[in-house]
Amino acid sequence: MISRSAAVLPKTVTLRPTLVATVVEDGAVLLDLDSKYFYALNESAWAVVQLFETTAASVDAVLAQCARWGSKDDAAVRAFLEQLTEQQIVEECGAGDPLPQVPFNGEWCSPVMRRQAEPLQNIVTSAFDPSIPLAE
Amino acid sequence: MRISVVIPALNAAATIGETLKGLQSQVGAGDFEIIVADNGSSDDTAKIARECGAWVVHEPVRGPAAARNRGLHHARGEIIAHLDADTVPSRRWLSEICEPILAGAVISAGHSICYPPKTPAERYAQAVGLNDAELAVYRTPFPFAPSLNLAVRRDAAIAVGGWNADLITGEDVDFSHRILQKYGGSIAYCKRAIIYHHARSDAAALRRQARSYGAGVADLYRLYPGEVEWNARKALHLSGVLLGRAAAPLAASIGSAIGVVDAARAEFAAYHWLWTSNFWLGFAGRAISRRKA
Repeated sequence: MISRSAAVLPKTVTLRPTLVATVVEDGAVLLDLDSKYFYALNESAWAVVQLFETTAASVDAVLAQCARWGSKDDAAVRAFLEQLTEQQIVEECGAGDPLPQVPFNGEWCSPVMRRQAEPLQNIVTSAFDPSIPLAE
Repeated sequence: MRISVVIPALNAAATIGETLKGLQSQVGAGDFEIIVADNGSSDDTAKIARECGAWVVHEPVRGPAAARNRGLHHARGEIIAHLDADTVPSRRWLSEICEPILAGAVISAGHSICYPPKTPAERYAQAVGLNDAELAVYRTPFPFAPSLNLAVRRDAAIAVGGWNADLITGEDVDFSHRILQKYGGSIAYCKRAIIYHHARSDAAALRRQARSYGAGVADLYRLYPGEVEWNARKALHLSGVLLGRAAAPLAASIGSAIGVVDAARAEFAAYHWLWTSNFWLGFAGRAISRRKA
């Protein structure tokens, strides 16, 4: 798990456009196309991210929505948003939009994000080596 | 209906649920249909697919090309997008891979990423970018859209006669080639149309894959003799490559033992030889069997 940061939490957030989300069995995976790092989100964390996946959301509105989902700990959600900010997964934007409808039927737990230790490896060579006649 | 997603599947019960869940999570693509072309599964592939809202059609002739043709036959979309049944598409995969086609392209290829590798075989597959369209679409003489992650205009797929069901592998190379021959242009590469897939996890599976790919390339030589031909110069060049790659694992392991080559490089050399040798064994085996036939 990424250690809690001291990042300054902006008033509004949106997912940076270089992040690509993929839904998996127990949440979602984000891939940052710039840094090539993967981030695994649990179901609560993924629900939160969907609130600003395509729109701008105010942090206050996000906290209120999390409370409706069952969160009793604003601090945990704030810490998660600070992680997102520090890792540059979200960025500050203008005014917040109305929150989208995000279905969340699971049991609320603290949002958790884990960064994969190593970024996606660069391709070092190719089996389809063009130097070979009609390459492999 | 603008888009049909066609997934060929054979005994994919363990993975197809995740694939379909990924499709259900799509945003930005509008309305689309999902067709699972079941290739004679004996497990719960069809049941899971139906439960996930897919339309299941059956294709008795074995092979992914025949299954894709069955899906193509039933598809109602103007664009056909293909996934394999062991992949997981990202949230905007469908909108990203269809975008260039809506803008006028005939065929597009997405970006396929292996799950973080855990075994030497998986590390090798990732290192060389097997199934990575970024390499494939710029390749010569046969640029192609890997079939696990592509989209094509339905009328174009039908106009070229669909997929060649005689081919077990390399059918995507052949399909892409016929599309480009008929329509010209190039394959639109969509870096953000990301899917995740499993690479072969052990040496035996990688060996089988390499032989199969080699056999597929032998078929391309047979199908397109005017565009690729075997000759003495190529044979000589290939001999040099094979000698170099055969010697590399031994050299790398010696280098690793004396500390001048890291273990990862030695591992790569061993698997590169495994891949290369089996690729060309597959190539030779198919070429000989076709000649006898």
